[in-house]
Amino acid sequence: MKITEYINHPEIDNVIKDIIDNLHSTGPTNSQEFEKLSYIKKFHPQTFSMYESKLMHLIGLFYKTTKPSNIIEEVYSIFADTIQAETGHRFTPVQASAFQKITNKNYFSFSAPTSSGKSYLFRELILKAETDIIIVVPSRALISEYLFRVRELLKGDNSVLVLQFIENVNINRTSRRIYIITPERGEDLFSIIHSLNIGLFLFDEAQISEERIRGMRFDSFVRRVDKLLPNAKKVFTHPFVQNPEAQLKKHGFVNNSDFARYNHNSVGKIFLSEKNNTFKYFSPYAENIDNEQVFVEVELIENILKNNGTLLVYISKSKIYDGSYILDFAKYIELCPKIENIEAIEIINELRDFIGASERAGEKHSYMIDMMEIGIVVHHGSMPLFARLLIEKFVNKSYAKICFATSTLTQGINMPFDVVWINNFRFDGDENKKNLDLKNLIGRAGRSTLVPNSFDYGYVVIESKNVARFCNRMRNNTSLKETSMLDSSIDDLPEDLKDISEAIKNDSFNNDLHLTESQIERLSNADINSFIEFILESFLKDNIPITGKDYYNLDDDSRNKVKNAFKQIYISHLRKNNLTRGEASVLSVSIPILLWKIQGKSFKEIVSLRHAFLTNKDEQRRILSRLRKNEISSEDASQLRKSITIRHSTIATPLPDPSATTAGIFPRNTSIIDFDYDILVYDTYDYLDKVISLSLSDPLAAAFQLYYNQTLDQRALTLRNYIKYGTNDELEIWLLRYGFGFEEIDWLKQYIEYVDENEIIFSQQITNLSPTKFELIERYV
Amino acid sequence: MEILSIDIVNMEDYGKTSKGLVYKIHVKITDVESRAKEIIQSISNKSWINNLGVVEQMSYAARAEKTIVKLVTQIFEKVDDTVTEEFGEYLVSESARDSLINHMDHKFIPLAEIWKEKITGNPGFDFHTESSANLITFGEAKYSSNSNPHTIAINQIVGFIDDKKDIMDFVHLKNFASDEAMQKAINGEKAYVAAFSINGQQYERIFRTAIESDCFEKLLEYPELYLIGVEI
Repeated sequence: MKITEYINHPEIDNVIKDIIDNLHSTGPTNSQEFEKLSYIKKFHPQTFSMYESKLMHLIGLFYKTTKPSNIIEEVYSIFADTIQAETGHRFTPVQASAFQKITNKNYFSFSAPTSSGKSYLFRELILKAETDIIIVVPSRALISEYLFRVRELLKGDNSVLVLQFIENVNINRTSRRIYIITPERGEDLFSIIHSLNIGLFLFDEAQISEERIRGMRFDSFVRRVDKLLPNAKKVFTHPFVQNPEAQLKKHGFVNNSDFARYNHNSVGKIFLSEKNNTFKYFSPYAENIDNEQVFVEVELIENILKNNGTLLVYISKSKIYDGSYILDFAKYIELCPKIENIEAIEIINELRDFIGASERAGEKHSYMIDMMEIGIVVHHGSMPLFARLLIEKFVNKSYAKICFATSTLTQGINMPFDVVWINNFRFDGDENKKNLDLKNLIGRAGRSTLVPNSFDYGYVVIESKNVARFCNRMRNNTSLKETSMLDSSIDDLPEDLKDISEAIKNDSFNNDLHLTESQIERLSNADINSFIEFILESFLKDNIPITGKDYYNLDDDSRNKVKNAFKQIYISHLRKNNLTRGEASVLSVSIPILLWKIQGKSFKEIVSLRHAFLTNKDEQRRILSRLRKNEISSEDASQLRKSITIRHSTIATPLPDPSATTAGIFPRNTSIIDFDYDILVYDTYDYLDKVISLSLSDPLAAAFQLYYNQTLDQRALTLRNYIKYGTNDELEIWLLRYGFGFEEIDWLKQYIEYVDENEIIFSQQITNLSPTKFELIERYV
Repeated sequence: MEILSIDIVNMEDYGKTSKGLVYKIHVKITDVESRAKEIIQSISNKSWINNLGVVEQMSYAARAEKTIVKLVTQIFEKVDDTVTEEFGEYLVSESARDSLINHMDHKFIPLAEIWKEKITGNPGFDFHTESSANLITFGEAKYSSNSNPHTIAINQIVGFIDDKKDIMDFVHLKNFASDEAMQKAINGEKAYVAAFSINGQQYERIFRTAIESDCFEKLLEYPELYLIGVEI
C-alpha cells in the first residue's frame, strides 16, 4: 500500500482493522504497520481515536491502558493482571518475558529495540535485588546516567552503596552494593571479588563485545567473573541484534541459559526526506524506494516545534565546533523563545558557572550557554561529563527544544525526541555497527508518553541524498560474532594495541598499577631514574607540587627538560622508542594541565588559566597599562589588542596515536578577538579526560610507584598520589574513594570527623548545610 | 442452548409471497457461562502474548474466571455497556449458528473466525454455514439489552447485500464451501439468517413484526431465509 493511500484512503477503518487483526496474532513486531498507524493517526485522528484504546491493549502497553470497553480489551487486561500477579509488576509482555527469564535462568541474553521499556525492567530488578549488582556499560556517559537514576531510585535507602567504580567502602552501613562500571574499570573488581556478595551482572549495551580492544576486554571480564562466580546471574542486553545467543555461545554458557530476540515496537515512525528545506514522506519499508515520495505540504517541523515538540539533530562535531549548525538550522532556532522557567535557568547558571563562562558578552562568552538560554543544547564527547549531565537533565525535564548531538548520544543515552534529523550520515565501525548505531539513533524518534490510550509516534528526517543508503541500512540486519576476539589472532593489530590485547588474552594485567605486565617490565628496566629524580626535584617544593604559573615561569631550558623527562618516562612503557611530532606536542600541552589538575584546580580554573595563557593576558595587560598611562590612544590600544594572535595549542588526542597531528585548536594567526571560549572548554576536557586520565595517569603513576619501591623516596609516592588521585591528602583520597569529586570535597572536608573503609563520621555541623549540599552527602549520613 | 421451536413460515398468512423457504427458530440460551469462557479462550489462545509464554495457563484461567462471572452477571442484569453488548451479540451469533448446525443439518463454515478472529468488529456478516440444500447462508446477529433488534439485523443484511459484502466474501468462502454451493452462490442463490436477542415474552408478536417489516420483504426472493430469536 502506498503512503498516499494511508493519507486519502476512504475506508481507513479497514486498514486499522487488518492491523489490529495482525497485532493480535503476531504482536507488535511489524515496524511497517506501526508506520501505517502513525500515518492514520496523523491524517485520520478521529477515526483512529476509536481504535486507540484497543491498540494499546493489543500492543501490550499496559501502563497506559484504561478499563476495557470490549471483549478483546477484557482478554488483554486479563493478560495484564496475570502478568502483574505473576511478576509483581505492571510489566508489558516483553518486560515480563525478560523478567521471568532473568529470574529463572543463570544466563540470559536478549535484544530489544530502543523504547521497549528496558530501563523500567532494570529499575525493578535493582529494587528487588538482595545481593550486590555489577552493571557494566560501554561509556562513562551511560555510567553517569545510571548513577543518577539508581541513586534517585534508592533515595532514602542508605544501606545500598552505589558507586561508579569498585571500592568496598562504608562497610559498616552497607547491606548491598551496586557498582556501575565500564569494562575497563572491571579490573578493580578482582582484588575484592570474594569479599562481595554479587548475585547479578548486568551487561547493558553488550554489543561492545564487537569492538576490537574493548570487546576483548569485555569478553575477558565476562569469562573471568564467570569462572570466579559461576552462580551469579549474567544478563546481556542489546539494542536490536539478530542473534543475542552469540553472547552465550562464545563463552560456552549452555546450561541454565536462555536468550530472546524481542522485536516489539511501542512507538511508530514517519520518515521524511529533506532537500533545501522541502520535505517528502517516504517509507523505508516500501518494496521499491524510488516509487513514492509524497510532498509534505505544511510546515511540519516548525509546527512540531511550535507545539512544544522536540528535535534532535544528529550532526558532525565539526559543524558544532565551527558554528555552522546555527546557520544551517537558523529557521528552527529562530522559533525557540528565551526560556523563563526558573529551574531551567538554574541549570543554565550552574553550567555557566561550571565552565567559567562570563554572564554578558565578553571574552569568556559561551555560545553554548547563549543557545541553551533559548532551549537549544549541544551534546558531544568532548563536553565535560558534568556538563553533559546538566544538559541531559535539562533535556529530560523538557526544557530543550532542539538538541544538536554527535554519536555520543547513540551510546545508549535515554532521551527520546519528536523528530530525529540525521544531518550527518557518517557512522563509525564496521557495517554491523553502523547499522546498529543508525537504528539506535532513529529509535529515539517518538516520545513514548504515559498519556492513557495514546498511540505515540515520531518523525525521522533523512537528507534526500542519503535516502537510498538509509533504506539499505534499515533492511540489513545486525548480528554479533559467535566467537570471541579473545580466541582470534592479534597479529594484525597496530603496534600500540598489542600490549593490552596480549595482557587481556593472557590475563597478565596488573590490577594495582593498571598496566600490563609487559609494560611494567619495560618501565622497570628502563633507564629513567634520572628523569624521575629531575621531576621530583623541579616539581615538588616542600612536598607540594609547584603551580602551573611556576612552571610557565621556568626558563625555556628547564621547561624543555621537564617536558623531555615526562616524555621519556611515558615512552618507556610503550613498545616504541620515539613519539611522533604530534604525540610529543600533545604531551607537551598536557603537562601544565596535569600540574593544575594535581594542584586540585577546578575545571573552570584550569580553563581560565589556559585562556589567560592562550590569549596572552600579560601582553593585553601591558597594552592596557600603556593606555592608562596615556602612552597610546584607545584606538591604538584596540588595534594592538586585535593584533595579538592566539597562542598555538595542539588539539587533544588520546596517546599513543601515531596519526596525531600538531594542528592547533584555532587556525594560526587567529586574533584573540575571535577566541571561541566553548572550543577551549571542549579541548580542556579532552586533555583532562582523554590525555591525562586515560593515557598518562596510569603509566606515570606506575613509574613513580616503581621508583618508590626501589628507592623508598617518599616524594615519589607523593607525586604518584597527586597524579593518581589529584591529591596527597589521606582524607581527600578517602572521600574520592567514596565517590565525591574535588568540588564537593572542598566544602565537605571541614565536616568530616573521621573516615575509613567502614564509614564516614560527620560532625554535628552538617545540620547547617544547605539542602542541596546535604542532598549530596545524605546517603552516607 | 435449547431449541424451543422451529417452524416453516407460511408467508401467505402474512399476505406475502416468497420464492423460497422462511424459517423461524426460537432458541433459549442455557450456556451463557460456557460461552463466556469459550470466547475468552478462543481470543486468548490466538494472542501473541499467549505465544510469548509469559503467563501460566492456570494463572490466566483463574483470573479469567472473574471476567467470566462479570460477563454473565452483566448479561443477566441487562447492563447497558459496550462490553455486554458485544458479548450479547456473540451469544446470539454463536447460538444461531449452532442451532442451524445441530438442528437444521447445516455445515459449519469457519470463515468469520479465521478471517477476522472476531476481534475487530469487522463490518460484514457474523457467521456462515452451508445448508442441507447446499446454499451458503450469511448470518447477521444483533443484540440489545432492552429491545428486540430484529429490524436492525434485517436492515443490516439488506445493507450488506446492497454493498455486495456477501460477494466480497466469495473469495474466502470458496476454501470452505462445497463446489455446488459456490456455484449456486455465484448464480445468486444464497441464504440469509437474521439472528436477534429477544426481550419480553410475546415471541409470536416479535416474529410477526420481523416478518412484516418492509426490509424483510426485500429478502423474499432468496431460496432460504432464517429468523432466529435468541432468548437470553
